[in-house]
Amino acid sequence: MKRVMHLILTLIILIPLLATGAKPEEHFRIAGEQYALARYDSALVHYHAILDQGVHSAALYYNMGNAYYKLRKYPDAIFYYEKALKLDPGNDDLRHNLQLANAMIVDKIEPMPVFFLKQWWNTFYNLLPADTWAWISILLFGLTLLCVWLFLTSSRMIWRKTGFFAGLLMAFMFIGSFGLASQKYYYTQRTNEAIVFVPTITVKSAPSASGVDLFVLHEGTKVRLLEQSGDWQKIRIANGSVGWMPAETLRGI
Amino acid sequence: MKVEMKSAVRFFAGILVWMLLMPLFVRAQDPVLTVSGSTQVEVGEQFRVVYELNAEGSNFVGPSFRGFRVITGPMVSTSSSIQIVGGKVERFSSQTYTYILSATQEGEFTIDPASVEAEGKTIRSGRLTVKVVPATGRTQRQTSTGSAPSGTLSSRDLFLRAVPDKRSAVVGEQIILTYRLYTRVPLANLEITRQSSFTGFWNKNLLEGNEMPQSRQVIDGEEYIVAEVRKVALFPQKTGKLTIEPMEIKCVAQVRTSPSRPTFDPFESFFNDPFFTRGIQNIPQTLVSEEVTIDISPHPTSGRPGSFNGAVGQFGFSAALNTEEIKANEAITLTLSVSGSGNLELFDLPRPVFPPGFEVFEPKLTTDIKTSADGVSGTRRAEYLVIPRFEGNYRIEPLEFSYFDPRRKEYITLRSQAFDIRVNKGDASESGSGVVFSSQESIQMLSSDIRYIQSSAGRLQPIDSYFFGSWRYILLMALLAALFGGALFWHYQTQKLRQNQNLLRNRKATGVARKRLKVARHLLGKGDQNAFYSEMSQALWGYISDKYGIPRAELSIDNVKNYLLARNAPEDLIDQLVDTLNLCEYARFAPGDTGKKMEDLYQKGIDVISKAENLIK
Repeated sequence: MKRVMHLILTLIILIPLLATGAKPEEHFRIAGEQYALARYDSALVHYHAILDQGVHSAALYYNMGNAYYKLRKYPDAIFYYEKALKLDPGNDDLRHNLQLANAMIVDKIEPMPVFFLKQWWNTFYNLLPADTWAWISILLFGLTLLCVWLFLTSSRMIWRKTGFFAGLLMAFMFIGSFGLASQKYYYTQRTNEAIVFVPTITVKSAPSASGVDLFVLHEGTKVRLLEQSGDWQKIRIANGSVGWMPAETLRGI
Repeated sequence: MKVEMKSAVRFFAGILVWMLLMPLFVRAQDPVLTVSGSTQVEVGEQFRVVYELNAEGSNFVGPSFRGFRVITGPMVSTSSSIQIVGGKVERFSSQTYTYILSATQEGEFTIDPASVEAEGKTIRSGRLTVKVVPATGRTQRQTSTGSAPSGTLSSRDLFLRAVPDKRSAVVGEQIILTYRLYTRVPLANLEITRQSSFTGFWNKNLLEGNEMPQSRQVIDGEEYIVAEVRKVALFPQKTGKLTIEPMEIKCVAQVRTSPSRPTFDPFESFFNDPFFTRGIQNIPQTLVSEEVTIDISPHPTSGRPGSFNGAVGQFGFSAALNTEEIKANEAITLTLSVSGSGNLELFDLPRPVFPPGFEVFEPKLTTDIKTSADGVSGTRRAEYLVIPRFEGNYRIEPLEFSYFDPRRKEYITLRSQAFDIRVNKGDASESGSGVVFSSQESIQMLSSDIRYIQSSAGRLQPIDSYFFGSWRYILLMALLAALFGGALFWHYQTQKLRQNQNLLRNRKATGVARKRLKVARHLLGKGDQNAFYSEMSQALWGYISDKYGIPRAELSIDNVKNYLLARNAPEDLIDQLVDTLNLCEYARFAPGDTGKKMEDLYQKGIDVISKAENLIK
């Protein structure tokens, strides 16, 4: 009851703000103040108001994850941390908080060992968000062209040689960064991971209720989405187990 | 031999005994329901009938007990024991079902069998025949009269009651249960034969030793003497309907016998007093109180504070610190106390949180409980001895203690004050044990928490907008490519132009050289040395530059040499050219006939140019 009252009060305070269509930055500032006063639910109202305006940022998702964490809604916290991670994969605070939130949920899944080259690639790929990779690819493209230019127009031998080899290197790097950018872009754009949002759910061996029960997942667990068949979603968890679960129990990141 | 015999006999005897005892242990007997009870009772007497089953049973169905009044029953009690005999584990369990009856009329009554289900079978007990005789009691030997006059005693003269002060309570709320004995006749030899067991309650006796407060009370116009036989404070520990078994008291009622014949002895009445056993009859009685059922509800959830831990009653709470300023490594004491009435011994005191850097010892707990007729009250204390190790200003946050007040039906939260402690620098020499605490220590992690929110929203971008693959990205790429293409195009254009110019120059070179040579020739005629030499060198340099496409800025003798070598020009031509060029520079300063020198140079120049012409073509 108290909380409902609280929410109503918050809404009363909010309504003028929403009516005037306050700037996202304004909402963000107020939410920060509310958070500092430990009024996490009203902070969340403001954060959601920003999302409703169709804009987002890694910091916004990170703060939302924090607020949900403080409200002990760990699945939501994990959901928003993962969203933030897509936009800002290299953030140290974010990884720290996500780790804490993951320690609060029921399921503890040992991830499969990853081939070291893939591990390196992943580390590299997670260094920067898609857009940064895109910018890097543009820069490298420019540098490649510059080197080609050097190679083509210099009359001095030394410049031509430098241009040729540097150009080769730049071209390789450009192709690499372009690949990373496109990979990251498709990964960010498509929802290929999801968080379980029901307290417990039994994962079946087939996309129907009559399938054999394979294992049980609890709320807050991250799954990888494989394919969909009607209302059923094929998933894979971190230890490599695959199964089917109802699509409405998941929220895609 | 003899010794052997003896031991063998002993051995066999042992076996024999063992075999006799075996069935007792190893084979669980078939379940049997036996009935036992008094076979002869007096009217008004209370007696027990006990059914015993040597197994675990269920669905006990008791008989109807026609002709008797059932005071209470069936009371079920189960006992089980485990024996390990020779490595075999045997479980024995038995159940008894007890009824307490009171005989109401004389005669012979048969109590029908009871039945119970055990091990899948229905087992029936035997019958029990009870003979009820008139209530006479064992009469004392009468001295005066030979006959035994009979006094009568009805259940209205003497009864036992269990009176709780409330029939419903919350968990932990104090209930005072009083057993009162009501009597209109003198009693003797009072003896409690069965105490109630208070399962589900924590209990505390409220009466000292043999104290039995008495009072007079009038019920339905009859005056009774009321004795409080027992008084307990009960604190329920679980929810639901809790039943308290009855209590049983045996006593002897001293009943005056009404004289069988009228006496005209004036002294008769005078002597007829209890001190003389004349006319007094002792009737043994068994009194049983009724069962009491109390409805226990859980603590209300609405408005339950977080600091609530089961205290129910009326309490006060205080915290005190013996000093607020102290030197490091000296001890301070924080005393918490809760006093009041209620379930004092059944909850924990709040635990204070001391600032890090305080060494805290286990608290000293003292409990001081007083019982009175109104229930349990008292004080509980916890004394914390703490030693601050480092100087500074510290704060102990206020402590909270919450309890549920059953009278007001609400939770009450009490808060102590906060304490600010100032710790001054301690004397290192004063640390008694000679241990010097170094001021350095490794960082202790107190707990972990998520890192704080970010203060700036960063770049808020529209959801689902990506730079990669967007038109801006493609545009930028295209721009770069276009820039590159454009630059390349411009570069080649200029190169082409330059080549064209070179070709033109090449074609015109001879012409230009000829014109210059003509001018030189003219100057030679005039004898103008300076002008002639400069014109000559101009002619030569210009010719080379135009002919071979060497930019004028790069013209030098070395360069020209290298260039011509790269073009595989014959050595003698190169030498000649270099000679001529050198001549241009030095001839004017060389000794000798100026006219002749100029003539020579002119000739040489013409030679070289014509040679070069031939070569290139």
